[in-house]
Amino acid sequence: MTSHRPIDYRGNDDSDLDSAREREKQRALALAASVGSLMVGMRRGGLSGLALGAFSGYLAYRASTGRGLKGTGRSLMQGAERTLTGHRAGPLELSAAVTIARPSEQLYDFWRDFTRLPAIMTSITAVEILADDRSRWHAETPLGGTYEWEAEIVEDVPGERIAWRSIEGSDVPQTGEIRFVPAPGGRGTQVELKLRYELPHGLLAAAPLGFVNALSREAVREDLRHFKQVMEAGEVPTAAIHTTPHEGVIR
Amino acid sequence: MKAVCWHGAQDMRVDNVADPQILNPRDAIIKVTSTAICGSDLHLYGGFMPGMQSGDIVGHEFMGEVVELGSAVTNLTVGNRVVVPFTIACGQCFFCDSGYHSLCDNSNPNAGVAEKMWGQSPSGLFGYTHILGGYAGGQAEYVRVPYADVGPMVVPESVSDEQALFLTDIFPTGYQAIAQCDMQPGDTVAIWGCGPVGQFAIASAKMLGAGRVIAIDTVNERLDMAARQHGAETLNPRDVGNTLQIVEALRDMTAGRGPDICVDAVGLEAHGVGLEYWYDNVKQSLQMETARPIVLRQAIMACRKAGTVSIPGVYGGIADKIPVGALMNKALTIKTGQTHVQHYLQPLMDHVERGDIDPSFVITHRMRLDEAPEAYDMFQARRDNCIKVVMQP
Ligand SMILES: [Zn+2]
Ligand SMILES: [Zn+2]
Repeated sequence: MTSHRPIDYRGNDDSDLDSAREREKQRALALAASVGSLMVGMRRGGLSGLALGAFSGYLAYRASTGRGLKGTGRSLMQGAERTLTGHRAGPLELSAAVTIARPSEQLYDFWRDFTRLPAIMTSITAVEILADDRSRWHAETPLGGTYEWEAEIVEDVPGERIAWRSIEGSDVPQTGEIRFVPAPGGRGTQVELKLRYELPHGLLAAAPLGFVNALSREAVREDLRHFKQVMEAGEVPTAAIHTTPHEGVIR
Repeated sequence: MKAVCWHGAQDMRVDNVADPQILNPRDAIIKVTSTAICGSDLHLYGGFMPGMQSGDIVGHEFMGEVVELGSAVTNLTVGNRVVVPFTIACGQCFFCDSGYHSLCDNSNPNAGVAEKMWGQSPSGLFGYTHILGGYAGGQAEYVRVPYADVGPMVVPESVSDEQALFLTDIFPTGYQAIAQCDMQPGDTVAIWGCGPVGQFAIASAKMLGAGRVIAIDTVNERLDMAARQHGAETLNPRDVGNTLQIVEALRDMTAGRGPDICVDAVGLEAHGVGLEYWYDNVKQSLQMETARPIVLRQAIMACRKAGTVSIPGVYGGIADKIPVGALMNKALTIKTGQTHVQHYLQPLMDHVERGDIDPSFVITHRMRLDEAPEAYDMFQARRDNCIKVVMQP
């Protein structure tokens, strides 16, 4: 395993938000927003909901308190709260990794065609290719808020690495990098995704869009899990019962 | 369609629900012809498993006729009569490739929740909690089967529903409990729990060449079945006593060695005798532990030095007072897991087809799907010598 930098939820020091009162307010608002998105997610059901988002810890807590395990559950819940509310203004860095039993070239090829990513990334609704190194990304949050940005590729090493950044004036300024590293023992490829969001007004400003849900390590991890499912099994599993039929994803 | 739905502890109902649909290219829809209630369904019925939601369709032992196929399923045709593994597996990940289908990396849509509970997620299962996927189960008229190109197996015409049905779970589960133990000729196998899985573990131990099989259960009808069907020796804890006395009895029966292989086919709802049972029962009802691991303790204490403790019985959460000192100092091996049904399906179907074994021997009750609530109640209370219920929609 390659080592991963721990996620820094603290961000930069920002004296404007430093007072305890302000922090409390921010915490309450962000929680309210996320509970709202929780309800929407539950109503919608399926993958877009909360089950696979920032609240999976909470779900595990709920599930586990069905019978015992209360201590574990509570600490998971505290973890979820920290993710959502501990962030102040400044950059937010998220990273996650997954092992996929496929060669790195195949994984790179899928990912490099950005138009295929909405199939695996919960919040991305569409990607338009503007030029070989330019693309426009459309995203929707569980609350129904939409946002978009234009990205340009800053590094592209076939079979190994793609790095990108949003161009000036994007709703949510961000940079990202995906790396494909051969896994030990011929067990496929370790895929490492790193995202960095510039949040000049803090996570709170993103909350009204429901954007907080997408800004969690769990959400990034789930998107990588979908990538693995599509590359290995050809489809993203679902246990949905009341949903409209679709043809799924064929690689 | 009609389906058996969980609505809380001691509350199974036959509800009218929406028919399943093809959702993914590798799906199939099966019209269920036979379905069974599993001992592990009683853990749901008793309210012992976390992660159930009111209205969940239960049932993971079912077979039937293919009525609809997703665009990517080319090895089956509509009208095929198939038996369906209870473990949902993609067939194409590292674990499926290694024959560990119940550990499939890709089939649990709620893998993130299972990871919070257990570190990593096993495969999805039909009708067995949202932690294991929240898939609708097969105690219903129709069921959606994911990865239908690698799971369901076409049943030969010469094999009846009742002979094929238990290839979904309990036959391979009992078989794996023994097959994973590296059994040597002449080994003595002790099996706690002589419900259906225990019966198939006993049958498999004999089939794989065990020297002796000792069947342990508190229900005499089950012990009778074990003796009658498979020539097992029997031990009833109610006649013997508490954990220490059972361990002593097993030591005596094996001239001091202890059974080479000890199988816990009971799991989290074990019944026992005396203070230990009382202790676990109180802790479990106070939600301080999720299991009553009485059998597991006995198996570890009784097992021969350097022997193997095999656990096909289902556990979900945490247990305490596990004799880890005995485990370590006796250099025991633990083998466990949900069953890699896909891995055993073909060889066991061959055994059935050849007539080496007729799995229908465990059936004690045949009922209609409508009667599911009564069937659960009867099975849980062990009324009418109930060991295995098969239902037809
Ligand atoms: Zn079962
Ligand atoms: Zn798999």
